[in-house]
Amino acid sequence: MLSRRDFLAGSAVIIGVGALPKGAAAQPLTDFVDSLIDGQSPRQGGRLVYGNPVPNWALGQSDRGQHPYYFMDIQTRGIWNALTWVDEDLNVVPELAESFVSNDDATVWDYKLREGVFFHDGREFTSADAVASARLHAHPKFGGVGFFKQDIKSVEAVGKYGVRFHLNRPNVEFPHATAEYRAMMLPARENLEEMGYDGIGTGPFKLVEIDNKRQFLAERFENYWMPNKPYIEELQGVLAMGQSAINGFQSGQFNAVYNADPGQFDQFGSVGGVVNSAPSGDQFWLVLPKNMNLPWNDVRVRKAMSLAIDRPKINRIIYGDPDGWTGNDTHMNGVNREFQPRAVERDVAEARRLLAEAGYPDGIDLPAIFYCPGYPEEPRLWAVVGESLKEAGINLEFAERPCDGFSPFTMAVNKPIGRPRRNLVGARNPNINLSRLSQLNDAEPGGWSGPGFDRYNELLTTAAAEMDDEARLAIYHEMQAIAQEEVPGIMIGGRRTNVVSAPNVHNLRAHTQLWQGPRYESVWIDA
Amino acid sequence: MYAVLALIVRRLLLSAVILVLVSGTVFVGTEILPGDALDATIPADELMYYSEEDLARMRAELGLDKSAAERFVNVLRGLVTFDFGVTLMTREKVIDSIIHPLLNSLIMASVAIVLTPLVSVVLGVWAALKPGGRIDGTVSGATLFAYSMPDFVVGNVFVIVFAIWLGLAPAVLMITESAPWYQILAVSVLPVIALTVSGVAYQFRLLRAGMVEALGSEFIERARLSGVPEWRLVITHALPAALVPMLNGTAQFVASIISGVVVIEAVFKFPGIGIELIRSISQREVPTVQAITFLAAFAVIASNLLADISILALDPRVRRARNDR
Repeated sequence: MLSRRDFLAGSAVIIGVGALPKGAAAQPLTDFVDSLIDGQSPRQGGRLVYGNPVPNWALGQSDRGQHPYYFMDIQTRGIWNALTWVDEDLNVVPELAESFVSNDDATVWDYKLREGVFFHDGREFTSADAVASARLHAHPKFGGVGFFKQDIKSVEAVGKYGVRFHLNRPNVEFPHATAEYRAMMLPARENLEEMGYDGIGTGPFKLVEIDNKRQFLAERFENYWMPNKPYIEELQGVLAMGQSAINGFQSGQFNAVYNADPGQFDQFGSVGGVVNSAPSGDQFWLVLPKNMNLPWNDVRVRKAMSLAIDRPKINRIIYGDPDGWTGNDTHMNGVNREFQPRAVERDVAEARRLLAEAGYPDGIDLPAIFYCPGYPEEPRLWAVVGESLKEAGINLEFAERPCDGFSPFTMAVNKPIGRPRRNLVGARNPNINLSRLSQLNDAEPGGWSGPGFDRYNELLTTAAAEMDDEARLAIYHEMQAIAQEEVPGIMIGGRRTNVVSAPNVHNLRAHTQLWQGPRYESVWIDA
Repeated sequence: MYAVLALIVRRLLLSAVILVLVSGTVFVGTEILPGDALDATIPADELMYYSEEDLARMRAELGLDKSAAERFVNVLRGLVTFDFGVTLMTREKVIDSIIHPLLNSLIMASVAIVLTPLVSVVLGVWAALKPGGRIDGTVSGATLFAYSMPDFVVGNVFVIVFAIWLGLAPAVLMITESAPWYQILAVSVLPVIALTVSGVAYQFRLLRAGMVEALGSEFIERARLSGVPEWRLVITHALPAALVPMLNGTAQFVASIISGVVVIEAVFKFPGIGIELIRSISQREVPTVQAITFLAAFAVIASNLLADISILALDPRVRRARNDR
């Protein structure tokens, strides 16, 4: 398996564009899949029916769930594949690419594509499809992959099985962007705007039907590029909100539940459910707009908020995970090697002192922060956050809104920042994580500005071009220190992706980066 | 006959007037009080995010810059021609977004509306044959208990008992919104039964009372003395008389079934109009709320009209009274 260190050191096969860095002929994805089924005797057949208590956040944008941008689950890899995949240790490895390599300054990336890959309609996947897909994802109007829009200047085919990306800036971590949940490879069309709506991918299952508000059904793709995979014949996903997840599992309709409420683990266990939790998962980021006349424009108020939130209590009460990590007020995740914890976990007295210094000795009322219950435990989480803020004299309401149409709702005003809200943040590589607080992201820094912000942006650019991983580590630490000093937003932290499955379902594993899992090629079901 | 026809025409006209009044109520409720549709969409504590220019532009986009009378005419014209406009969020046609859920709910509600009086009649007749007997006591007690149970309790108990414990029905309805009618029907069994519980309980009590009264009346006694068989007395003489109050109850049941549908659909996650109503209210989708409210009112008016016509057909006393005028 290609480690992050190997990747950065460029100790891999160079395909031919330049010298070091950054070659990558990583250990194939197929080896990972094979390692899971090693020693097992997988049975062919069966239907995996999973309930997902996570609402379709994209519903308000479109009800055309055949498109990977709007598919009812963020786990798009059942139907589609991307050029790369991020493994369970957050290392990037090739998926539909066979290898990738950059030029000396990481501004040009060459991907060699896997041969013998077919779409569900029988067409072969070639560089024409990869180029068209990348152009769609990077398109300023129709595109849906922000990191493509940020980085890609142009993309071109190199023969039938080669793709070359020209970037706007050096980015040694670029292959992580091509593993994004929307960056799926689609059949090329002349008109980019029309691409993706046919539900055709190269993934292990072919989409049979979808009702984006409720469920989808897919069947095994017999010409899948991994020979003899997948093992299961049908895959069915059902949005199962509220009690439906546990009811469906208890009644035997579901043989798995993704993203179960940790508060229900015991209930699942009592009916034979096996809980598989990843080391980490999606997190909640509070976007605090600072472009309006609001109290948190004062950094002391933001610091007081962060110091008042009782994150360990959230881990204990909501996640039943007292040893879990806590957010450090950047998008960095506790499992990132470069993660730098906050110096002080919680200090209510200091929070009160900062508020008094800012002119609020008797406490403060803040404008409501909007959220949609993206995970079943979320309303309870915000209740704990609200109560812990009150202990420091901070009155902050967390107002629930439906997830259907939540994004347009939050962005309908105060453009480009939008309303105060919580954003769901996936676990990613450090450069993408830290770029989300930079000038590359219009909304999430919430209008953060000043010398600290300028220095932060400068460091991000330096890090993206830095070849030495220890030097990059130091830069990332400095960036986190700046953010922790100025608190442009607040990260809660502590959540871990989970999958609950029946005992006869094998190799259904939770992935820290939610959309990279599960790898259905390894999943099989006992009779 | 002429009087009966005149009555039907009069009821039709009255129904049209009521529809206009309902449209007016929907309009006032959603567009006038306490603010307009924009105010309903934007709560007061969020107004800080909008400039006056933003609000003026949005009002113009929604047609709210026109006078109330002009807007009412537009809303009325739209509602009575079933042109409900477009949704605020996605700008798709409201009718397109609710047509499948509407049809699904109609399927479920229709079965419930047909099933409820049938079950009520069977139980009511059975219990009334021996008032105070063991069967009467058991059925009356059970229906009183069922009548006192809220729909959401009935629905959840059904899921636990019939789906989770006994495995006789699905706990989660795994079906697409646009599934064919027979598939919708197939998954509707448990929701329909849950939906009929309170209706059966109510209508049973009406029918049983009517049957007991009819079977004890003089005309039945005379018929019995003249040698008419007991089964014929019950079916052809007592039952039609007892059905009239029950039919009025059925019209009321149709009204109550609309609220029941919302609750039952939420419990079973049935892909119907009740779920859409909850969704549109939480999203403050005023045009969708208007459309569903109007259609619900339309269903109640239509069912009342049907009940009146049925009573005319069943009860000669009513027909005579009309013809005698």
